[in-house]
Amino acid sequence: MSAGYHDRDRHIFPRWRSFAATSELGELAQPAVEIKNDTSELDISLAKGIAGWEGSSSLWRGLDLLGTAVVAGRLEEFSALVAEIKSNPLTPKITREFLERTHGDKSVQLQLPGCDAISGQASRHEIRAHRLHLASAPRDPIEWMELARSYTIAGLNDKAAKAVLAALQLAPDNRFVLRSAARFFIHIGEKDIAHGLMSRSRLITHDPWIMASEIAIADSMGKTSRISKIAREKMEADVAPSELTELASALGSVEADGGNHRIARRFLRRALDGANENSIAQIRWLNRSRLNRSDSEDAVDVSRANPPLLHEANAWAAFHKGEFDIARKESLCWLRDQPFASAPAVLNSYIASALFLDFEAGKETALESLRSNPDDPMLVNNLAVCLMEIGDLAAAETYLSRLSVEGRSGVMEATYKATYGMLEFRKGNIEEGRRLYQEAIEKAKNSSDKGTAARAAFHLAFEELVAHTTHVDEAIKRLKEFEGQDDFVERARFFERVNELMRND
Amino acid sequence: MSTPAEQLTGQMLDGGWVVGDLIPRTAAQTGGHFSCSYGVTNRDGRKAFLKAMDYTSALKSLDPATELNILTSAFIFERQVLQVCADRKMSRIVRAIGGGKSSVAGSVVEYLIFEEAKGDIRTYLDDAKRFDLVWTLTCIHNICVGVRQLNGASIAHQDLKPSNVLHFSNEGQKLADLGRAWHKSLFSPHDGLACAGDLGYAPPELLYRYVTPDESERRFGADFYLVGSMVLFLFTGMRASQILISELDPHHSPRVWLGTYEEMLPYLSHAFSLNLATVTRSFPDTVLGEEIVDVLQQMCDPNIATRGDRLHRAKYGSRFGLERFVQRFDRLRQAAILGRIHHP
Repeated sequence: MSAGYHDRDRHIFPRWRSFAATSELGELAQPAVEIKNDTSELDISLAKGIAGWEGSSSLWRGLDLLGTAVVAGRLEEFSALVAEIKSNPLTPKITREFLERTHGDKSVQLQLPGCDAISGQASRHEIRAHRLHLASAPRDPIEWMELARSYTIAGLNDKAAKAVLAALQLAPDNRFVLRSAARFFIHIGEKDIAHGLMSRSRLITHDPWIMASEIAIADSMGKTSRISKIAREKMEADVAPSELTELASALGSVEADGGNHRIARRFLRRALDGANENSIAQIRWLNRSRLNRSDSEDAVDVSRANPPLLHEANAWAAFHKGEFDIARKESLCWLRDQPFASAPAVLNSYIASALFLDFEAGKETALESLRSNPDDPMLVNNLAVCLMEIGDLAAAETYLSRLSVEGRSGVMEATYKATYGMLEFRKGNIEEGRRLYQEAIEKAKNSSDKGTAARAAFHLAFEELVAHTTHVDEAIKRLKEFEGQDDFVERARFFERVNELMRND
Repeated sequence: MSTPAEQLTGQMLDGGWVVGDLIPRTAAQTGGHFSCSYGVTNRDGRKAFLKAMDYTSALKSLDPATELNILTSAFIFERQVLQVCADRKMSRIVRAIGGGKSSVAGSVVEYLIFEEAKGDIRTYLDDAKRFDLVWTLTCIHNICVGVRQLNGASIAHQDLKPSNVLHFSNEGQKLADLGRAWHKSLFSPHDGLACAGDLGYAPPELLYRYVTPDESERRFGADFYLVGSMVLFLFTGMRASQILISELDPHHSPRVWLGTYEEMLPYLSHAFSLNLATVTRSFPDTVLGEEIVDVLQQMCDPNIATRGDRLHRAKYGSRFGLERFVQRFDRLRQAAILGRIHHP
């Protein structure tokens, strides 16, 4: 079992949230290209409206004046009139409702995703609602993208692709549509398409959000971005820091990959100014994996940054500090924020089952996420482990059979071998199980993946204990080999489990 | 000190009109004002409304020649347009029933006399104190007829708003104030402005500073939107751009947004579709609700490229023709009279 697969590599790919959440986070606040904005005509219009109202105040003149105030962006100056109109029984009901919505404290209306459990039912309701909406508004590109997101969460990628294409056709040069579409194509493994969308966009030379995504996708494909020079120039332009945070992170990541740590740190410190959670998660990951010279000090200090929805960064930070309660909660929040993504589900299911022995919760998380990610081998792996712990061997075996031969090889081969070892143990094929575990341990050690080797060694000990074999002492003795290892933060919890099993033995 | 245009009270004008009291200017008009208004009474007892041109503020400006040229051109344009309306017997446009010049204090004051209304539709709605579906649909029908009459003569009103829809006791509603209008072949000093009318009521493309290359599309597309906005106002007390902006992120409001209309369009389309869903829910009578929402969908589409009546385009070549809406609101009015539809 493992949490680490998705932590081995990270790129600042665009997040894909609902339009409302993306707007609330301010990621659509600034245009790609600025033009002059003279609003004096709106002030003149409002002055005329006020004069008309002062000359003869009445309900319908008041309604008319409020209309001008809303259009002129100065409704907050008309609180008394709003109150008067809302309390007038002759005011149309729909108008009262609109005034309730528009004349209130915007900060209390935040609708960012919470941390409640995900539900398949909810995504089906959402699909229905979006489809109904589109039946009467088929030219609304944002709604097509919302439908695509709901389809993606439900694992209906073909339908999602059609919805994404519809949105792109209606709004081929819109930041929200483009970045959401790119994230969809990354999700389904079509990075080429995602990169093409970004690099061919008319916004690519103007919009720092599009530039950031293009650079990140190119980097993940091992390509060099063709806009890297323009992007560096953009960093010097007179643009709000919050608009540049992802671009600075993307450029910093490329430099870090190239070993230019000093330049990387310079970009990443720029990214901290007005940072969003994606930037912070990227910087923390780079600190962990590329830049830090010691455990005690981060190369780029992100401790003061606290943007909304900082769940991914917090989940990993807590996990690596061994604060598993926090890591479990934050990973669930991260999953709620990006419900189609497999990384938060892998981490959450791992923490729930391996560290809290809450195999039902681990199973539920993995199952939910498999709807969106039916081929994610690590989700299948974690689900199979949970099912074996619950005692449903047949289901576990069925799920494991989904892992292709190619899927079983590669960087996570040791983890899969260990899981097959567990299966053999639970089926009573102790010798075969032990052999597979030992192979897993050796394989991980040979790849310098001592964390995975340690996890496999502990799981072998668990299985020997559960099966009451004569190899328990040998398995426990072997654990000493992994003492003092920094990348294996679960050690204390795993020892607790060993002790518990020994007491029960 | 009073200007010549403010000293007309008591004057006997051509056609037997006697000028009554000056209608006081509102606070907003007391700055750079270009006309003043009076009640006038004819020898035969008819009452009317007089608009006298006042060039005083132009003469006091930094560039009197230019300002004067603008004011006189605007007056000539309005007079010409009113003549076109009179020649075509436009029944839903407030008629100019007289006009001329009067000598006051050594100056010549030009004026126009219009038929007098009971007030604008807001006054009527305030006095009525209850929603009357038949009246509302009749009013919308009359507005559609008025704009169709203007558009049919290559005139775009450009400033259609509640204060410019006047209510007459016997004749129903008529459109007033052609001072900001556009005519295909007559010169107006406002022709160079993207939005000659009140920007507070304007369609999104003008609010977001987009100028369509096709002038007819720009002018008639705006009128089409403003008719839809009046439909919404008469049912809800809100205008189309108001509810659109209410649905937007505050960063995307016309006052704040520094980007282009094209970049805003997806957000506007989304806000518009959410609006339509809200408006649909506010109609207990689903038949009427569907009709009104369909009207709004065609008329108030924030995307000027897709706004309009596609069936009208297929038949007549223009998306912004109102013929089918005139028929539609007449049919709805009949249905309301027969009690087949209700609101609220």
